[in-house]
Amino acid sequence: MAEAFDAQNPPFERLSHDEISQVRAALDIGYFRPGEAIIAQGQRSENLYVVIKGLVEERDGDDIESALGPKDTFDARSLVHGPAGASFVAGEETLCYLLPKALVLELIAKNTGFAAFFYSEISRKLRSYTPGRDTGGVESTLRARVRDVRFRPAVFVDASMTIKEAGHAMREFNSNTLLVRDGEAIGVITRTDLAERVVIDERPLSAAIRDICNFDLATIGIDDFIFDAVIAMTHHNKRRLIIESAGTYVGVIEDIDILGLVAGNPQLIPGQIERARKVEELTASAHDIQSQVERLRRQGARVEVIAEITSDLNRRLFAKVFDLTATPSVSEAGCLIVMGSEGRGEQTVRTDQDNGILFTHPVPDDELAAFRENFTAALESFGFPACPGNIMVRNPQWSQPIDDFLRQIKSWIVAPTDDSPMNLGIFYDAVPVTGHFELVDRAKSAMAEMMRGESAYLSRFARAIDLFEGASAGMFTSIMASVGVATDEIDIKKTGTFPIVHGVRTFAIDEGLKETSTVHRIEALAESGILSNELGRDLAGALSYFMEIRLQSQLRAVKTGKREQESIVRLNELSTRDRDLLRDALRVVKRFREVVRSRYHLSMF
Amino acid sequence: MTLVRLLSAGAVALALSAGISLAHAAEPAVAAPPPSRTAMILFLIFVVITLWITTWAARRNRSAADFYAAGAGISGTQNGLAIAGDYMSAASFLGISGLVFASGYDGLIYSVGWLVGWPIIMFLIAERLRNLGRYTFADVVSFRLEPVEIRTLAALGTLTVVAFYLIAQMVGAGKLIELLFGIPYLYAVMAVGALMILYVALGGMLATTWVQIIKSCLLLGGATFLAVMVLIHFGFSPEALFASAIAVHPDGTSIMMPGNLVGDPISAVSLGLALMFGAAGLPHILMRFFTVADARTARKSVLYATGFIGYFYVLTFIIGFGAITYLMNDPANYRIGADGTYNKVTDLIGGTNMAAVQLANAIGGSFFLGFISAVAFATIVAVVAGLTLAGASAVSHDLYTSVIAKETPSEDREVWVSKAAAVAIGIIAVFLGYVFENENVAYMVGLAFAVAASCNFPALLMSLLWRGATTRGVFIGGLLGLVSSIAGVVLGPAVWVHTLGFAHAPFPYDNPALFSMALAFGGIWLFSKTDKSKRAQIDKAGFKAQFIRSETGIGASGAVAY
Repeated sequence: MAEAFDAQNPPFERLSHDEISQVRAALDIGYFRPGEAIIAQGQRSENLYVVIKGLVEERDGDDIESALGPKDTFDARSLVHGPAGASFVAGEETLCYLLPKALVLELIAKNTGFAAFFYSEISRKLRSYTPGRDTGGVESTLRARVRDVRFRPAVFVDASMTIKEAGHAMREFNSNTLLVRDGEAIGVITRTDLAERVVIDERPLSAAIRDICNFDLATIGIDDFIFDAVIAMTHHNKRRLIIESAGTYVGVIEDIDILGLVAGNPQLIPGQIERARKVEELTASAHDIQSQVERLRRQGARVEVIAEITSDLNRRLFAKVFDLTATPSVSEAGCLIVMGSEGRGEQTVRTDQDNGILFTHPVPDDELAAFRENFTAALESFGFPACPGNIMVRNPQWSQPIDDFLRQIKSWIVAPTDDSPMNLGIFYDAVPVTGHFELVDRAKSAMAEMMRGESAYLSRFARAIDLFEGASAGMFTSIMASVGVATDEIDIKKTGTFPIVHGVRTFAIDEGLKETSTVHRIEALAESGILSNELGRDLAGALSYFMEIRLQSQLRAVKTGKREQESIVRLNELSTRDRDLLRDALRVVKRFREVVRSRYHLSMF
Repeated sequence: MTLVRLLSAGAVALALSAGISLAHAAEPAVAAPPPSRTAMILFLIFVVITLWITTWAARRNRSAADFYAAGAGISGTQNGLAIAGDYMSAASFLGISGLVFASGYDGLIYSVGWLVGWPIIMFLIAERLRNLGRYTFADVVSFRLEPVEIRTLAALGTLTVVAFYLIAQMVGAGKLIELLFGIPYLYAVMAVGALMILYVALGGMLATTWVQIIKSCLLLGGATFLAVMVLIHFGFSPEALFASAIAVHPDGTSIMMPGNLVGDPISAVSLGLALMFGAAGLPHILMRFFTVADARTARKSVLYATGFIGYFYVLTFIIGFGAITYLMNDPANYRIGADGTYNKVTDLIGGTNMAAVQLANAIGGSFFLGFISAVAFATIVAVVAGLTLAGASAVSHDLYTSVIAKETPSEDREVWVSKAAAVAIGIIAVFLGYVFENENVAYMVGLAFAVAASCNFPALLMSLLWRGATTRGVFIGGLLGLVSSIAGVVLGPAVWVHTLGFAHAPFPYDNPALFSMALAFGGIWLFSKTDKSKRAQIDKAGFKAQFIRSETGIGASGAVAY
């Protein structure tokens, strides 16, 4: 029976032959009557279920979120991350494979590709809308060059080194592989070699590595295709190759590096960031954070997940840069904050940097000046675009002691200039990254207090949602565009994301909400009855869809080098289904806009 | 886009109803002359162009700005023009010129009264409203007073004012369409009502400032042209104009003297009070002060608005006298009685409300007739939209949220309520517009002002300036003013005798403002003084903070301890 288990069914196709056997041995089969709860909401699950036959409904309360059929897997979330967010109920007579939790966790720990699936599976809303998978992904990866892979630099040791010393060296350089120099000859020794020789052959730890290393090197040129590397690995039956460049050995490429190129391995980046000792060493991590966006996406991760992972990584990066650049008094008194989309955790492809710093008390001028300059310069050196609104640590307005900053907020409210509303809005999205977290809370509470009852101010603030009205994804637009009368380009940021984000933010300030992410704010608003549950759900759905297609066009813009096109979507390049979705989402925006207009009396303007 | 589409739909609807009535016109019963086809077509074209320009300007203004830049608010000049646009309704244009046409000099009492209202707004209200940073007059009055009672009062006051004001606009629009398309008045009013409901319920969410600005410019332009044409005819000599008018008008020299329209001093004072203080209680005008950036701009916008409005009233006066000289000697403009004679005032085709429109026809033929009609019509649509929005928002924000709904409704529910309210208000307006067919529109607006001056204005002024005002006092006093002014209007000659057909009016004066305002202020004073409740202490304690805020724009409570 267990042999019938389909090893090609994602994510199991990522498992090795042995691992599949392991899975098959551990499989159990369960039968569920219609209406029976397989996993109750809020419960942890002890198994991973794979539907064999029948139908399983994923329910949130009474609402059916999605229906799972044969070969579908559930529920990664309750297995890995804790209580299930939804309940899973058999919709008809259902048979499932049951995979014990312990085994799944073991596989996740062992197999990066399998783990990546679970990482991206956190939000299983994936089912309702899976972005068009880039089938060219794997292929284009294989066409990449060896130099594109983040391989490990070659570490040379002398052949007279002992096994024990080699083990320490591997740990020190954080490498599985050492190149061994024995006169003219070059050999290689791996962690597995060390373990085998000591454990199985019972060699003493003091033995020289000369005797146990392998002088038959499998090499690959740095400009060769990854494709060739895979063939070479298969051919030599080796999991690592030595990289050759201009007659010297420059590094080691492992199979997991290639997997990383395909699957992305965000879990490696925090370690990289942690280990950095100088600002320059973070450049690679900053680059990796960006490139994993595209990889995660290729895997089919939802945009929310990508944004969540990306902002988590970005914040670690910011915190590290802060640690490296802050002088003692700055780091003692400071609270680094990120704002805007970065603060809301909605940034995927970097568009700008909105950051600042608050201090518990004034810090010496010269230290502050040096820090402002170094911090911003560090981020710029990573390729973070400068903020057009100059909302950066470098700007004194955004790096001051909390008391001065509160006075600043007050003046933005009492004596507003043109960009005051923008500043308030961006600050309200702030989250602390490192240091005295409580400062942000204090400033935001004070701001909400000062804004209470400022209906006229809020309504001028809310008015920005009207700036870019009237995009339509309807037939009329397409027809007009096809005869060249109108454009069929839709700016997703202006007509989709911005009105939702800004309208929700206005409500959030008005209600003094503590949440920063737009989705959480929407939930809070629906909970307190300000928005109906229905509108709340629609808004979250529409926002997610906009972010999804915006990410698509951002990635395309990055690839083609046309940054100004980053949020443009062309109707005639969308599938009929996408166009329908876009139309629905724009309709939700229109409805929401009416709500904002009514609440803030915008029709008077 | 939406606006143009809607309006073209409206234009088509009008054209259709015109078609129906043309078929209808074949029957001998209709006394009106066949309408000019050229004027009709030109009218439709002008209406569409007007609205297209409005949409275009609104859009252009928007796309120039980037995210957030709109936060700065509207400039003083723009807001002044918009206020003038809100204020220069069909009532002013058609009604005042009609009153001057009928009564001569006394027509001016309306212009002067309405103009004098502006300094009152400027000195007493504008700056304070802006400084308090609230939207509507209900928000301002409930700054320190208990919101539930105040919002109930405000909503009732607002709805009554809007209703009277709307009647005037509906009558003006209905008469205009009747005259232009030759369709029966009832159909005309219904067509206008349907258009207005469509506009507000579907596309009326368009920002109104630009609609009003464009409309102001068009109306000022059109009226200037009419007035200049009249003056050219008399060599720019007002003396010659007046002399010629005296010669033609059946009342002779008395049209240059007071007393034709408002006979007794009590009526005159009452009307004057209503016109002067009413403007400061009009919900859609008061809302204009929160759209500007600061108190300075608020004052400035009132200054500009006063200038524009004053100039406009001078024009309507000239137009009224011009109408006397141009129209009264030409029987073609009149419904001729069986004996071949006609009354030079009451028998004007379309009624005295159409004096300005008929003058356009006499001066510039069907081309100018179409143009002036289109301008007047666009004016009406814009004012009606502003009024309906104010009324609908009073229902949804004040009445529904604070009074009717058991628990706080969600914002999308409020949107629904406000749309439903707009539809209901539209239907009521059609009904009332039909009932009050033959009233002078300026007079009807005068009644709206009486209600505003007796309910909204006392509540606003007392809560802003008198420390002792309490929730109970303002609520009861405001309600007294509201009820007494409505009673005065209904029992007065205009409704009781002219509309309901009774022989003798229980309340002898045309305008109740003198009495109802006194009742309102007296009521607020009395019931506040005698108010010993706990709430009264809270109300009085809140005055200082409100006063500081209203004078400086900086909240005293804003100095929170961080």
